[in-house]
Amino acid sequence: MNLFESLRASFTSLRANKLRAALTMSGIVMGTFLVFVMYSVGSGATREAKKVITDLAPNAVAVVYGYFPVDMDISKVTFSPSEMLQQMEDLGTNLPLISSRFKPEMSYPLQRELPGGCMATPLSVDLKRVEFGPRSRNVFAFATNDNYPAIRNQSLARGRYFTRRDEGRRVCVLGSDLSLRLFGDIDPVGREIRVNGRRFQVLGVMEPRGRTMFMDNDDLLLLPYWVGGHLGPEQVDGFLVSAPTPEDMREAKAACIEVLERQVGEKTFTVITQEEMLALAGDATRLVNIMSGIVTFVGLLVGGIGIMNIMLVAVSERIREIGIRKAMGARATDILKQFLLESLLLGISGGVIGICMGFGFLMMIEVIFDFPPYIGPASILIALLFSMGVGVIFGVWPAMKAAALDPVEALGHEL
Amino acid sequence: MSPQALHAHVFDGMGGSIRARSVHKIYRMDGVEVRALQGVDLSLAPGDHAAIMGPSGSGKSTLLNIAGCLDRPTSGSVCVDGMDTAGMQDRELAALRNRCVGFVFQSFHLLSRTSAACNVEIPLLYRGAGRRERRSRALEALEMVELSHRAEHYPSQLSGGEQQRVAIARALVSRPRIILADEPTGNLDSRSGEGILRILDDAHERGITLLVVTHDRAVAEHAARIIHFNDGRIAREEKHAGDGSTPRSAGKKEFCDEPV
Ligand SMILES: Nc1ncnc2c1ncn2[C@@H]1O[C@H](COP(=O)(O)OP(=O)(O)O)[C@@H](O)[C@H]1O
Ligand SMILES: [Mg+2]
Repeated sequence: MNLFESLRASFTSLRANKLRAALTMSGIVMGTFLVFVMYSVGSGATREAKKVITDLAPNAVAVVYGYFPVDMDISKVTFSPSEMLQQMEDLGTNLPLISSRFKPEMSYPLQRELPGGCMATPLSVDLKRVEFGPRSRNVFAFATNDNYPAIRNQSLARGRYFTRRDEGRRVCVLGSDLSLRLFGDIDPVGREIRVNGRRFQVLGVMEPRGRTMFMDNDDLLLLPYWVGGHLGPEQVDGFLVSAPTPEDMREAKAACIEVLERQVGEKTFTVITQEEMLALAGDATRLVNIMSGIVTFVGLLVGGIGIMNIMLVAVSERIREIGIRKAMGARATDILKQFLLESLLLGISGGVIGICMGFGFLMMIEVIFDFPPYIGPASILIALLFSMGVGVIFGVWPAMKAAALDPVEALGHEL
Repeated sequence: MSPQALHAHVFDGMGGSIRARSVHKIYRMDGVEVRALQGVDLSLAPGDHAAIMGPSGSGKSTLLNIAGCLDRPTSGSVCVDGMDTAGMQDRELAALRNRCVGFVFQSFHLLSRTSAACNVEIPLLYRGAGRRERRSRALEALEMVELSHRAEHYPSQLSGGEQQRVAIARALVSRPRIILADEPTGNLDSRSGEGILRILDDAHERGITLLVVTHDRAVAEHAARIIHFNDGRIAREEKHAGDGSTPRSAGKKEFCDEPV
């Protein structure tokens, strides 16, 4: 019996037992769905995280107030409650959102001690209400110094960035999107807007930069550090440094630690390089992969046991059929092939349905959470292989049982 | 084409001997031994028509299954179509069943989920025949049992007699030299039974070796030889003219010694 004939026979048999086939498939559908969604979300998240990190600045070093042990290996984090409580307490005392001992002036000694070519800016983040005429928007605001455009490798589309000569003035620079939304076609340079009700003069507009998962770089307000972020002008959340080369970046980290420990003390802040951030993201990816692996395994079991159960039922329901086929000259391999193909077919159809459902679900995620999952050929291939694998692996035993049946006993079998 | 011409066309092959030598079959279940066959010697020449009678449980079906390579004897030798089955592997036995033997069972054993024609096609499926060839030969075989007009009907839409005729068509479709029928009329009323017997006699007319197990003396008398079974042994054999006339070729040869 050739493959095509076997496929036809399997198809006929599955069609004759629609309900049974549907029940069997539901497990596979769920399993494939989970695998597909997990894999796509996982690789989407990884891609986004890497994009966010590399988008930050070339060879970036970030300094944030509050101590996080970034050198630790996430996969070795222990989950004992007492240790977690301790960690949370440590974090709580140094929580950057509540208070910071960093001051904007510290960027000057920092800048002096950094390797040549490095640039540093204080950085504070805040949410501000911006108004121009009748139009208003709530946007993120970064408080920085005049190094910001160079650090982020972003030039100005119009006007200029603020410098130390503007010190004390209420001036600002707009992201390209923010400018468009507030001013439309009007040139905003020199005009006045209101930021949290106070009047600010617009000095310039940044070139478009694009967006990443966590923030829109263009729907952004840039303020001088003397205006300050949510902690006011006296305190800074942290610093952002960019270095010309990766080696300089590592040196810059050491310099940051040295300079700032002198000022605010040990273990009160965290310095993390782009490399380390990527490594952390890699760790997180690995964690996600492990979780996907577990989900895959559970899906495999759920879908697989479903298939196996139903195929076993199919075998026992069809003992007489197997006897008849054997009496007519079917070899054990013919029977094996027939049952294996049936479960493979079940697996693939369940898999295709699961993938389609996954597509729908991922599109929903994208719309609702504004998070683009990565649906590459790999995720589809993995999901398909998964469903086929489940079909074959869990079909083997029932198929072998069917193939091994004694023809005389099978024929005499009463149902 | 008339059914007769079809027969002649279909059964051009000859051969079809069965020889069993001191065949024993012992079933072991939970430590209890059931001696289903205890030394059976039986030779059927090509074209023979024999009936096996005997009380229930005397081993008739067991012998038939062994003769048709559906089962293996515990000891003793069985030659089918001149081939010794003793050393054969399961797949070779399957091929032998597929090509040389046609089975007819008391309870028809049709696949209920496929049409009459698809049922008849089954043996051809396992010898790799193409779809068109299968279909045309299945229709030929159904014509022989005068059921070509019911080809697309499912077994549940056919009467018992018709179902058995489909089963016979299925046995004939692979052009076997031997037909083994285990109480083929056992589940049928006498009128349908007669139809079945007529078809089997027709097949025998065309040179097929026919071995029929039956409880019914009238059925047995269609055969030239009536073999009486008792307790796993052949008790005696009656020879008589039978309703079927002398088979076309009844030469006695030692088929086991022929090259395979
Ligand atoms: N698969 C089996 N396992 C155990 N005993 C069996 C099996 N098949 C047949 N028998 C026994 O072998 C004997 C002969 O059975 P069978 O050939 O079916 O008799 P008959 O066809 O003459 O009625 C009976 O006693 C039956 O119970
Ligand atoms: Mg019997």
